[in-house]
Amino acid sequence: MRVTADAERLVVVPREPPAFSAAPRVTFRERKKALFLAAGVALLVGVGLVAMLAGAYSISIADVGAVLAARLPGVDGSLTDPVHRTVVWEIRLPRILMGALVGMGLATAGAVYQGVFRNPLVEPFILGVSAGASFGASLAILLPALIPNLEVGAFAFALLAVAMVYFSSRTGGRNPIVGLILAGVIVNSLFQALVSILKYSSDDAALRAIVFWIMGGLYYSSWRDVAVLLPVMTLGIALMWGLSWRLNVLSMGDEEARTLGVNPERLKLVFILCATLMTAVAVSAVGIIAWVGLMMPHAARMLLGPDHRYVIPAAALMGATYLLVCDTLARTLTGTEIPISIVTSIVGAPYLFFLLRTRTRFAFSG
Amino acid sequence: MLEISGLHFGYGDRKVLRGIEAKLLPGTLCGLFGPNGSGKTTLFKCCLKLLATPAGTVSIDGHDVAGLSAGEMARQVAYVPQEHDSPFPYLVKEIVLMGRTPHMGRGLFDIPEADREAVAGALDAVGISDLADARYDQLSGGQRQLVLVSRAIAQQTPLMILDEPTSALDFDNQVRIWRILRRLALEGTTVLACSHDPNHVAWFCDRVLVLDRGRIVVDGSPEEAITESTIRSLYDEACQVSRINGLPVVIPGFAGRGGERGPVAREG
Repeated sequence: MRVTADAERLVVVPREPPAFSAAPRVTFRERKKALFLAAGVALLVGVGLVAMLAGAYSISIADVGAVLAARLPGVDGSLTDPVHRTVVWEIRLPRILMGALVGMGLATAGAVYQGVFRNPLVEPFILGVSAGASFGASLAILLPALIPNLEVGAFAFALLAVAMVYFSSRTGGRNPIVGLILAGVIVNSLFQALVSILKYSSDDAALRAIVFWIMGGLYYSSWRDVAVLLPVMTLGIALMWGLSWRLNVLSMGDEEARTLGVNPERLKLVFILCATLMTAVAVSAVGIIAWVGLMMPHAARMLLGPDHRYVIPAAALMGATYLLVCDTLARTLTGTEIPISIVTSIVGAPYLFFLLRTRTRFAFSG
Repeated sequence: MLEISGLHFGYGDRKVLRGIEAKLLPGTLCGLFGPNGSGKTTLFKCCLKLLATPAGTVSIDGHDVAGLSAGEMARQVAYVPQEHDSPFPYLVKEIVLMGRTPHMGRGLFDIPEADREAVAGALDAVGISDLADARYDQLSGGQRQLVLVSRAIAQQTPLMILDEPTSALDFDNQVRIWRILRRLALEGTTVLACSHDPNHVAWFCDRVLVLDRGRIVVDGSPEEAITESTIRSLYDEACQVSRINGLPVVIPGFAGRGGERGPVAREG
């Protein structure tokens, strides 16, 4: 034994190894959390059904069932009412799917950004996606000859903004979190100024179009949009969920993540890239929808705890449900449609005040 | 186990480490002792590859750390950082489970039994099983240090590096942590821990490295390292080494000079 005589006197060293088997069992409440997620799926389907029935044109569950059944292979669809077909298949179903997909994507991206930036007050637009997309969309509205496709323009400028943030904050092969956030503030304000220039120099019709686009809405949802969003969101959420334990480790800080066996730089790049793609696709399809990406990860964390293995799927389900509820309210509350950001903000603001008043301790740390 | 040679490091023009040489054998409990700003944490961060090393090599178990991935590093060396805050309200058992990350597969939706047992064992080894379900962000600084030590134990690595593991602990817990480190060393883990307290390294370590202004000035057994001359070279006349029951004890000096450096004078 390499113990000095003096140390021997003070230290009573047990010779047997520590008795691991005698240690009290540690239980992780996984079953309860899994049940919660299953309930979330059921709730989402239920809300989807309500959204299908709600609207200016009243339609019965049986008619909805008939239209959907007619889509199955081997079923003759010619017997269904063409109006029902249009309302259910061409208008409401793609819109419901879009609402769910956008809500899912924004909430997951928000949860991921919050984990990566170690700050529960971060939202998916922190790195400039929304400002970049607004500029791209405004440019497409003003100069259709330059950018013929609004969605593509918004998407391209959203990615450009985030790329500017990522590369301008890079020093010595690393992206410190403070640098990313500061660069995000700079790029956001730069693109907002550019949007203001475009607004200032546009005529009334174009100005109206820009303002409406920025407020966001699911009015023009079509199967073509669903075809773009469905693969991006499902693959993105699956990848993020697969890496969710590593997100826990990453949220302890770069240095600790490294000593726990996770390469923080590579992981941050994957998370930021994936969350940015999901946000950019959502924003370029439906405009800027506020609050979902900030609130839903929070709500998920309050219900299931901070473990991202559960926060990510729960945020996705709750984001989809929340946006579906808000969109249904937006199109049924009044005779005309209310832009959805107005609804999500009016519902979200009191919640955020509540959070500020009760959870200040960890809402501002990190 | 750990071999450091010719290690230099500086933040810009400010040189922090100036040619560190050290070699630790397996199963050693080595104390790194030095005053504030002597470069203890920087040395650890160079060993853990948290800082780029412009000059010199660090190798663990014969492998140069420059060629090891984060995952390979984490299976070789566990790190207990100085006390820190978590932005999210993780539970203690979740924090300790993070120590299992380098041994886990990529997915992890079902925690393997071996990892659960390692977590339970690590909590038990530090004596904080009753804190398993507590929120980490609501613990005291000392309790957090115990959790971080527990996480490092759960990582089950041949080398463990601890940065001031007892700085926020009460006296009882300080002795508890050092005893746990002794036990880990006896079981074969190489432990490198730094401390501001010369008594801790004198009482509990097999070997002591004394770091002063970026250089290792003394390297030897506690008897050889914590001596009157070492303490005097670091702290001038502020302290002196005494003996109580055969143990060396560093106490405030009685050098006088108006008593401003000595213990509180109890007059009249």
